[in-house]
Amino acid sequence: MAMASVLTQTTDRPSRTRRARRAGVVGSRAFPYLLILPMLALEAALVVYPILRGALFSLDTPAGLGLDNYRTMLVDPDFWRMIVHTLVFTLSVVVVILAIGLSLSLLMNWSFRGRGVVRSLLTVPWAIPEVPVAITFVLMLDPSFGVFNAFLRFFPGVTENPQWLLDPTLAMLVVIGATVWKGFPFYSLVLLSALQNVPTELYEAAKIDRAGRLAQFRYITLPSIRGTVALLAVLAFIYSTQQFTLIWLITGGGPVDATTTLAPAIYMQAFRFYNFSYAGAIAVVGFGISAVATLCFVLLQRRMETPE
Amino acid sequence: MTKLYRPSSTLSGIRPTRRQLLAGAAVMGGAIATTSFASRPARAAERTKLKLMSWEQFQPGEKEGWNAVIEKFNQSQDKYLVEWTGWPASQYVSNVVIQAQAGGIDADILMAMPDLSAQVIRKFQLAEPLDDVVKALGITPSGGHEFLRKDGKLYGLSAIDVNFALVYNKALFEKAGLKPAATPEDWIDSTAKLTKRPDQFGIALTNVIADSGEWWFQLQNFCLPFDGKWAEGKTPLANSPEVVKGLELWRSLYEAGVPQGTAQSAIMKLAADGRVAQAFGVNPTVVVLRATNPNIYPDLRSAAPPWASRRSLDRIHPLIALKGKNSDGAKAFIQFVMTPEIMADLMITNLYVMPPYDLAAKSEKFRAFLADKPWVTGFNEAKQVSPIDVMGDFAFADDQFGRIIMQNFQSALRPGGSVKTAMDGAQRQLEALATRL
Amino acid sequence: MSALRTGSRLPSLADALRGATILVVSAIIFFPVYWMIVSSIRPSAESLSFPPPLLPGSIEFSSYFQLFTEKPIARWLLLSTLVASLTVIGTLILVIPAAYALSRLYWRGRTAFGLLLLFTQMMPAAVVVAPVLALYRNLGWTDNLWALALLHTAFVVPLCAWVLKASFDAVPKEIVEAALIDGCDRWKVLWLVVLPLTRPGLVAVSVIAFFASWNEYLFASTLITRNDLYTASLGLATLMTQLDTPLFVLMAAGVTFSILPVLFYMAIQRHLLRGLTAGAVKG
Repeated sequence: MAMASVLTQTTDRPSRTRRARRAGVVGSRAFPYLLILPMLALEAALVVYPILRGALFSLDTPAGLGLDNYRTMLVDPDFWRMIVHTLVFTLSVVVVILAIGLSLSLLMNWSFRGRGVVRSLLTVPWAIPEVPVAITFVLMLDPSFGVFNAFLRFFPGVTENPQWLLDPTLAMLVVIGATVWKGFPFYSLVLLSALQNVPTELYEAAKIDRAGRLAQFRYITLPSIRGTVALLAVLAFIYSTQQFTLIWLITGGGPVDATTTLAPAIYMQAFRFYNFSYAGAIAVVGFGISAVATLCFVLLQRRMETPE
Repeated sequence: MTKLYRPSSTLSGIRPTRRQLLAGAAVMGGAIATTSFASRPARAAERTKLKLMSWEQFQPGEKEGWNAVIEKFNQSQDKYLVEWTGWPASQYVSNVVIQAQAGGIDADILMAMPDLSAQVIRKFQLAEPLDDVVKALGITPSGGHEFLRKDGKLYGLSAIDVNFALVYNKALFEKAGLKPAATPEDWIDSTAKLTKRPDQFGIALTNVIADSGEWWFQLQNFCLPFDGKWAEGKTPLANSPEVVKGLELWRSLYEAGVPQGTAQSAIMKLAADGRVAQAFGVNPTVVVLRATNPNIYPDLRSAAPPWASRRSLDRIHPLIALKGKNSDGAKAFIQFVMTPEIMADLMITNLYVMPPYDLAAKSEKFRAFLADKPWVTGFNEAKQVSPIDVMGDFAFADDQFGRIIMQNFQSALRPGGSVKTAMDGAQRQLEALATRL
Repeated sequence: MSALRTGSRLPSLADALRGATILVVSAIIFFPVYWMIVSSIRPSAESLSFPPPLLPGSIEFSSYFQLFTEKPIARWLLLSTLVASLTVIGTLILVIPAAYALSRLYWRGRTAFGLLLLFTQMMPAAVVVAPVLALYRNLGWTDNLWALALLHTAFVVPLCAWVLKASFDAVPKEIVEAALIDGCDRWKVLWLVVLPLTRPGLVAVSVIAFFASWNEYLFASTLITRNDLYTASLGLATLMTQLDTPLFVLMAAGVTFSILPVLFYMAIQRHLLRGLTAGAVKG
């Protein structure tokens, strides 16, 4: 029976699900759960439990458990400015890092001589520890000795070295740039592996149909990797809200508080001002922002996919 | 772990042909195996281990002195064995706080930066009083220890005491025919004369918020040139005329001869390369410069802070005995370190010049050492002020106070910025902070 | 694919343009790395001048000399390699079955599990680290590199599960079904059919796990306090001492510490090339 349905209904979409369900019964109903059990156990013990404990810190007040930290936080103008900086930083990083990651993965997906070497070289930013990356950027931007300023002098009209890290907008651009630079190899790596999964026949068929490069990208490449791009957008969002080391070492959250995003704010409260429970409250809000963004994204994805 | 990490026993059963193949792996495993067990001394079981948590074991130019002290202590008695634990200074505070939040600091003796020690004593309440130690040694701790007192009891004794003075490069001053300044006006003037950007800078001042710890450390002194205070009790005085004048002095120096926007690490490199004429720094600055460039050490001198009162801040990094089953051992170690003989040796090796108590009266050796060091004069002439004298109740929210000052002050450093306006803004934020204290 | 392109004709204008693009883009991206290397091998006076010369006027290895003589670099790298390799192994063991279940099987709670995995990545680490330390203290797992690798695995595995799931999703259903018809059970399908087809994904996941463990600092510094167990990232931090951060030695360390991960990537990156998908479908 099962065999017959497999043979006759290979192209029928809805029945595929039904058939797969039946195939699942052929194995065992518990099989999928057995597969995820080791991972679930590890996550529950070493990640989820500490996260819940960490969230509990936020309820810790001098007068016992309570919501005081959240009350203080919501009326603190610094907190709201921090949220704005976080969103500006995060959304910029998501857009830029995906654009760069995708373009580079497309470049690297072409075959050319020395592709392996170029590809490996482009992973170097990912491999270098964050601290040397930060101090190299600081040195390159130094108002007295920075090589970026030497490059800027090539542009007509530039006679002064800009104080990159004393200007709120420039400082934000710098930390976005450094984060993108350090992070893009991950995104292009994952996208590259996704591109490798696009069946070649599709391109061959497209060539026969005399479809142009752009059309190939639009109608073959993009639909095939859309799931991966969506996943990476969510991940880029989550990880950018947690960017700490580069921001802390390059701008220290300044000038004033222009680059104080979520992670530096938490660090400052917990380890500089000794307000550990207040830091916990900010962290819970950060978690909430990422969770809401992710859920929105998942819903949006679903709505986009249903018409097809 | 033990089973997996014993390659010699697993290898013995393998035939010679395969042995060659596995030799490389064995070397790797062997290296790991030995280290997993090597740090356990043979007769450790008989002695109680004391963990000394500190950042000093990572400090070039200072770790040797401390290693010698520990060695001497371990030999002087057979009850305790002191071992290092801890992190480099840049990650020290956060790791200690994490440990405290995770149920306790895993150490018996804690060395702490000034702000951290106040928190350990007051907020975490993990310290043991050291009045017995003081009494047994018959010493009188220096005035800077005041912030380590709570309810009349003393909870820490200075391991490293630093104060501020003008550190300068004698060769560069002589070449320019200048002497270190004695008044603020002179100071701005000579700084400008000693500056030839970008080859030479008149003065090194930390000036970026990425180095906020170091910047506040120095900037905090600038309430003193015109005899101001940052706060009185719970009342911040950030926009008082004395403080504003002091910060304007800082800004004039910044304009006259500071590597503007340059990171602390690069400034230190410039200083070690002999491209900085002077710095407003602490005595360990000299130690670090000696470690990075021994050739520059003979040229270093110090002068008192160039203002009438000569007052500068005194920051004590104390040793604290933590509560717990080994607190007696911790006290015994601290008492040992504070013995005049031992302390004098430590200070001489590490070029510490600010003793925790009147050591010069008790140690001939230390007196001779001070007399022999041409670069200590300025540090000795400076009049020490405890942070508690200038910070009021904010002394225990020092970093937060500093952050507010620096953030606002930064806007005064841009062209056309006004220190007064910036400090008015800081004052408002500090008043809000006062209500939360 | 390479056969399709290179075998055809003489290099066209498009090829030249493409080559130039790759060259320019690589140069721009690689510049900070170049600057780090150059700064670490020339006298500091050259780096701290304006404008700083683009090429080193003279070369000196004093930063590297200082790094290698004062610090047990080889040992740090060895232990980092150990922890990162364990993390890769642990990740692969856990992630393959889980990603398979997420991608190819239908079961209640699948979406919830997928979301849970994303949620594990959302809590800022500064707040999670103290509870992790408390937990590890209770288990007696501090100062233990195996336990550190397990923790690295736990934190990287959710990300890897998603990445590998995307890769499994791309395996054509027809192939799996054909194998099932041939009488393979689900394990055989996974090992003999799906995994060989998803080599790029497996490589990507391995690289992610290796790099994540290699560069992780916060948890390592909390859980490992004995200096004979320092990994590279912990060792690097010991260079930053009070009042002094030796700029160029740190850059030398940055260059040194990135060599091994890049070699690791180089060694396995050729497997990122297309698997056997096309042939399998045709056959």
